[in-house]
Amino acid sequence: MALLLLRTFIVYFLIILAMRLMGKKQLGELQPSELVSTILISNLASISIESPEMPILSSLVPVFVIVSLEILLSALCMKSRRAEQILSGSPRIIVQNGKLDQAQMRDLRFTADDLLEALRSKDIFELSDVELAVVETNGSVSVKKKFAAETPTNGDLKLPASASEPPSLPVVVNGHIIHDHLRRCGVNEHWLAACCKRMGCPVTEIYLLLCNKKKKLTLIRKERA
Amino acid sequence: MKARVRAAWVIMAAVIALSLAGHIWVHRATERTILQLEDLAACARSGDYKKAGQKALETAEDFDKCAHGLEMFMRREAVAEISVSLHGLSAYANRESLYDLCSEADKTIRQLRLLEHMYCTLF
Repeated sequence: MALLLLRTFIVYFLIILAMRLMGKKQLGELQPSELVSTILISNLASISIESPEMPILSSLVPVFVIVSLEILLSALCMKSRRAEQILSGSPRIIVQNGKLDQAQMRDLRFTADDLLEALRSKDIFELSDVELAVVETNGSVSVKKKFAAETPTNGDLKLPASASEPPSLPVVVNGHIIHDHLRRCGVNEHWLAACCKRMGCPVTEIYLLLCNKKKKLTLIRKERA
Repeated sequence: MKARVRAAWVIMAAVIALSLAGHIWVHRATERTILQLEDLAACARSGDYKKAGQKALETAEDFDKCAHGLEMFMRREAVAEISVSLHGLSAYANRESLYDLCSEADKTIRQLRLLEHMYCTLF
């Protein structure tokens, strides 16, 4: 049992290392090759945990081979457009000027329901509102609405830039100061300490403190258990 | 990205080196044990049972020394099976059990060849 525990620890931390090596892309929407490696890694990782008679290397070696192949192929795809097309395919236009390209949809095995579902998830309920819809290589659908259906932007409404609030960053989370965010907001620890004193809340009692470049603070105190 | 690509090359090189090391380790361990087994069978056939018994014990001890290394690359039960077979050989090192000794030694040689085949062949 102790051996199993140790093997699980080793596999767990090495798989985390492997996933970190592959980067954030692996955690979001996946390209075909990334999906294959993720499925393979999850299966391979379980081998040495489930089967104590198997050497731990029998799952770790293939995992790390897949990780290195994944990284090397990504690097190759960045250098060669042809390699990228072979490995990931290319985006396909399925709606242009509100007109469905049924041949493309058949080729992609993309049904009308799939398309309407993808449009609804983007708050588009009328096909006629779509100027362009593209099925990306990771299977997601990108949509460009027609001019008449577009939501006007602040620029269209000619709103002054001074009306916008700069984004807030967490500067204290659960009693811990995030120094990098303090710097980005143009403040320092002395300023923070003064603010805490003014608000009557020491840093250790703060659950979340948000701050923006205009030095506007939002405080959430820790609740007593 | 460059650091990741470099890390990928390092990992790939390490994995290839490990696989080659495993290949060499398994080949050497199995070949040495097979030679020892053939030697002990030859001793037994020539009537030197005492030497054959001694060689059987030596072979089992030598194999046990490299068994931990082999278990890094091979299924543990396959390695343990061969170790058990080798430890039983010395009991047959007498005139009455010559046939059994030779047949057990042959069986263990076949097991060792299978072990090497399992690790070293692609299909």
